Amino acid sequence: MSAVRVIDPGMQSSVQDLGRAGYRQMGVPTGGAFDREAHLIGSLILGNDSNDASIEMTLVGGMFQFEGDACICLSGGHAPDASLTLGERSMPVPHQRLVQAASGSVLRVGSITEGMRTHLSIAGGFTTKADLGSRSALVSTPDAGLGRSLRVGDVLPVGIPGKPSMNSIEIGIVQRVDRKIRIVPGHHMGLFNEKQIQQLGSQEFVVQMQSNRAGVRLGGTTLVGDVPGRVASVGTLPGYVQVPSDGQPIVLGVDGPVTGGYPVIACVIEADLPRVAQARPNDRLRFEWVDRNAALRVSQGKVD
Amino acid sequence: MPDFLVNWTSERSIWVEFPDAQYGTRVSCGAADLLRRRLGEQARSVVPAGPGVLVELEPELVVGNEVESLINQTARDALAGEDLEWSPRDHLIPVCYDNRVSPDLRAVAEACAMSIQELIDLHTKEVYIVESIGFSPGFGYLGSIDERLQLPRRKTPRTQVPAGSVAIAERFTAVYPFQTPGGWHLIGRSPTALFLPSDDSPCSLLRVGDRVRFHAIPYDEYNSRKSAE
Repeated sequence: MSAVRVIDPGMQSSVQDLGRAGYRQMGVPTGGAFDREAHLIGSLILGNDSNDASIEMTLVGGMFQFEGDACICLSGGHAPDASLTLGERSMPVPHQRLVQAASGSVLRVGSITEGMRTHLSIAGGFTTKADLGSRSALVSTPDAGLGRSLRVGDVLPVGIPGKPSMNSIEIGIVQRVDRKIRIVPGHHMGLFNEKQIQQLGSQEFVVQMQSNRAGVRLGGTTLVGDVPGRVASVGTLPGYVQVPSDGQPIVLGVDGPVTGGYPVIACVIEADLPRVAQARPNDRLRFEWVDRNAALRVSQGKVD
Repeated sequence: MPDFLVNWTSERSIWVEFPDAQYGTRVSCGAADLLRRRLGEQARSVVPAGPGVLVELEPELVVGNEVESLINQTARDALAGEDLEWSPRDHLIPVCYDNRVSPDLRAVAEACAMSIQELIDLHTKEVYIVESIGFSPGFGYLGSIDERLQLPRRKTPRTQVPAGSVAIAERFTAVYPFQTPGGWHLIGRSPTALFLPSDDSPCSLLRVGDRVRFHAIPYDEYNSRKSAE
């Protein structure tokens, strides 16, 4: 059986698929690839099922050795120095292309210079143990028994490859963050004043260092005036824009809490979540209010 | 005040609220169960929390006003008590209230101007309701604790709270299922496992709407039950 050995996990890497459905009412976030699109592109190129697991890497990619021949693909954030080495020979690994990796070869992903998260997909998918129906690691809570971040020496089994469907996909390298991120009115929008609502849709926010899969923290702009205090706990979803008392919004991520007591001013439309996932610390984000029905048509894939 | 509200909270979610119903009781939990059954694949998730239920929809399956109408009808039926199969479960959770495993016990008793025994009596006499689950897998917000025990959260949260810690803050009490950061006051420790993913059903000991009581166990018993796990 083929496998991949983790020589160096990089800054933070974990196995992810499309997440864990059906356990949110027990406090378990859906999780899965934060940038779903990057994961799906890898699956598509390699002929994998959409839910076959890939490795999500963050800012600095890892180093992996292949035990058995493999077909691989890097997608999502751009890692321009990615290379594959076997003995003396080394070749670059282009973005969003099928690459054959011979048994024994070593993939060095290196820095992710555009975007925040790069996926390593492999034909057949990583077949690590599934918990509650998913291989996605809940990295914030390693004791929960729902996976953990990759560590040096981990050996990840690989499934039986399907038939590659295409060699590459010619689309934009990364969901660029310079396009505005579309938001719709949130659960507690009525508690915010006109000025604050307008500010969220017009000013620039700066992504903070403390951001992770649970939430992307924003600074740079503070909502003016009093923001509503804590509210009765309500169900929350990835993309919800919470505003704590300091007036600096947090966009909940795929591992974000399933309930929360901070007022929610807006929600990022599902189609734009990959762009939130790819936002790097110090990136500047702008939001744009859109109509809920227009957002639904985008989420349904009827319009861009 | 209407009996219930149905509001879109994004292009893919609807919040159903029962303003007059008590949190975590038959109406909202029954409604959540009924919504799950009736919506089937149209709902990715149905999460009861506090005063209502959040329905996360499958966007592909949202056509016209059908889903919204079905949710309205279901909320109405839940209020009328029709087709409800839901019932709460009762849990008795052992807690060791001992300074060796309860770093804030003495400080909380002092802040509440009572003896440690009075604190334990107040914490164990109440039957709590799981009002919502969140923060971490299996972490239940149990309400409400006796008013005499209600304190604001700690100014500085701890970066690591041990698994099993029994804590209070504001009007809630909870058991931390895992070692995580936490800003509540730690008054006890329980040997009971709250979340076992290997156990597909129930996997979380607590569900929203369940009733919970705590009972005090001595330090030795805590240790032997902990090591027997």
